[in-house]
Amino acid sequence: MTDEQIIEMARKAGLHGLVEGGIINEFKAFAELIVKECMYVGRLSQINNGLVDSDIKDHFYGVEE
Amino acid sequence: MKNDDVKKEIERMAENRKHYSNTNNPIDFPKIQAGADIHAGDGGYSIGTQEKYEEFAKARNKSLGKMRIRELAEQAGLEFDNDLALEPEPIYYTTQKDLEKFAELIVRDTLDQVAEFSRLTKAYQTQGIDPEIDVTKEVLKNFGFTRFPIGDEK
Repeated sequence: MTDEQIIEMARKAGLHGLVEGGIINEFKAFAELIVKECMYVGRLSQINNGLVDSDIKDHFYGVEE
Repeated sequence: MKNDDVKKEIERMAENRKHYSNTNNPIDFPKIQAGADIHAGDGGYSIGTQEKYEEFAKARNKSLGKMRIRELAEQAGLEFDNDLALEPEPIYYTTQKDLEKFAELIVRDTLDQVAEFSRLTKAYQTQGIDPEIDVTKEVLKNFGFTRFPIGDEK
């Protein structure tokens, strides 16, 4: 993802001031880890004949308060 | 047994009963007290507080996914204090909720791409063509991510 894409994503999430804070690289790294975790969970789901989409969502948001 | 002996015996028993009726005295029941320690666990019994209960309930209810999001953020170099504010504090603040929203957008974007590549793969397969698309590689390439190894390659 480009810096602009990360900033746009952060802006949508309500994370303003990313550039001023100088932490764009950390957010980029954070995004990368999330994407790779998604793909990893997706692979496991596929191996287990699961529903990839649901399994990924459940992995991150499954147990709500 | 003579009458006097019987009376003395009854008095002795009454005296003993009085002595052991004080169950709060650990000297009276040393073995029972020792047993209580064993069965109560290392810390023994204690009266909980409302604060401790709320702290426990909060931790119990916390989503495992949310905890994972925080772990990933920390792994990426985003540091938190107890209120989940980013450090160094004077520069920038955020809440875990905002961070979760950011993560959600990333996850959604990822899922959209996975769906798109999966649709493409199926479209080829219905025509009897094996497109040999590695969805994971394609998605990562699309994002331009190469820094961290993916889970099963660690």
